[in-house]
Amino acid sequence: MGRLRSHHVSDEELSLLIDGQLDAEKRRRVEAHLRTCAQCRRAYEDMRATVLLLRQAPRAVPPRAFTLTEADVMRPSRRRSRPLWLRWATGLVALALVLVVALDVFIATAPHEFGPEIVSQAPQATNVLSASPSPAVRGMAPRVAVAPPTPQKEVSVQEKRALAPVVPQEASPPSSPPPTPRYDLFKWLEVGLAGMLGVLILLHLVWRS
Amino acid sequence: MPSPNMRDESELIRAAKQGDVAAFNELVLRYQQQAYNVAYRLLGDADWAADATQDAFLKAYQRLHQLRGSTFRPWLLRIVTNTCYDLLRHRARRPAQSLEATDDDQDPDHLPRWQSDVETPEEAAMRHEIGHAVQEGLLHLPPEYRAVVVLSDVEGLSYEEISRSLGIPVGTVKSRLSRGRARLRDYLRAHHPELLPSSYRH
Repeated sequence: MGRLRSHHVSDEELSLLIDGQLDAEKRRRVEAHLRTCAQCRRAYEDMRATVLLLRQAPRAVPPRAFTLTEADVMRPSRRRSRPLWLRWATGLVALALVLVVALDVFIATAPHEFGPEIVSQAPQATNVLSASPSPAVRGMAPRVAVAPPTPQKEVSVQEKRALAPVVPQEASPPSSPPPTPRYDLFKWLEVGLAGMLGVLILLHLVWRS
Repeated sequence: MPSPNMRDESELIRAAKQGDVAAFNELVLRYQQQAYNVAYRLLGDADWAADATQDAFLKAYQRLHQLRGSTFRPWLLRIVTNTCYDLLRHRARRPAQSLEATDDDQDPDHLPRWQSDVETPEEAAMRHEIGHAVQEGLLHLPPEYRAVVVLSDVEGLSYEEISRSLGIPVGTVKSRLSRGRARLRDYLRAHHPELLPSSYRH
């Protein structure tokens, strides 16, 4: 049985035979086998009939002409012509904004390293603040002032996390306002970058339409 | 049917590359029947095939600058088959959506119009029956086998042309073609034995 099976013709050989792509020697061997093996002969004849059916299959008629109009070719090419610098600039500004915000949050939540510096600059900060109190800073100050020092330790981890980016609780004593020139710099950087990003996104939209 | 003022293909491609849409449209008219038929056989849905064909011609126009040396037909068919693969993948990811589209459509079978040569109504009916049986079988093949079988046996492309159309080696064309044909044969044996010679002997 094993010996007989090894002589059976593979589907690939049948397929190549149908296409006339077997070399002379292989072809002789396959054809000799087909004469003696009914199973392989049926496999071959059915495969050949399948190929003939495919060749006879009716052709689908296009429901319309697929010719392009000037409008077809203009629309996508305009979309594609959105300049490369715009994409790069948007990417870079977005990245810068993320970095600045990340650094800001990092400094705000890592009080031990930056704490003393912040405290030492505190008087300066009050001056800046009294000159131009920003809404963000005003929002921060009362929360810190209201929070009493002892219950703060009992605040749950989630609450701490939620508060952390906004309020540098442990950094500054509750009595003194936390903002410093460093925060001011971050604030302006963030506002500036967000503004630039907005303009770039607007440009993207203009190019798209 | 070549007419006396029919422009040479390479001339049309050159003109189209310089933005001559009319020249490109001549190429569209030459190949749209084949492109649409390939799309229909790969997708099994007349509407999807029309969308894929239109999309493929638009992509071809936009990417004409990439066509160097190779001839237009296999290059175009590569775009058509890739567009169809994308659609099939998309449909596989969102089966609910495609089902919805099928229900809403006016033509539930999504069948195309068939090209009719001069033949009797009986012959035409027979041919359509064969066409549907074959299409059912094709849709049971994995898409990569389906594409090779369609290009070879429905469209009559050579191994070499299929290799260029699908971006696969000739050896892969041969093995996929044999597996595709064998599976299709087995499908027809199981579902439409009357179409195959082995059934005559029973």
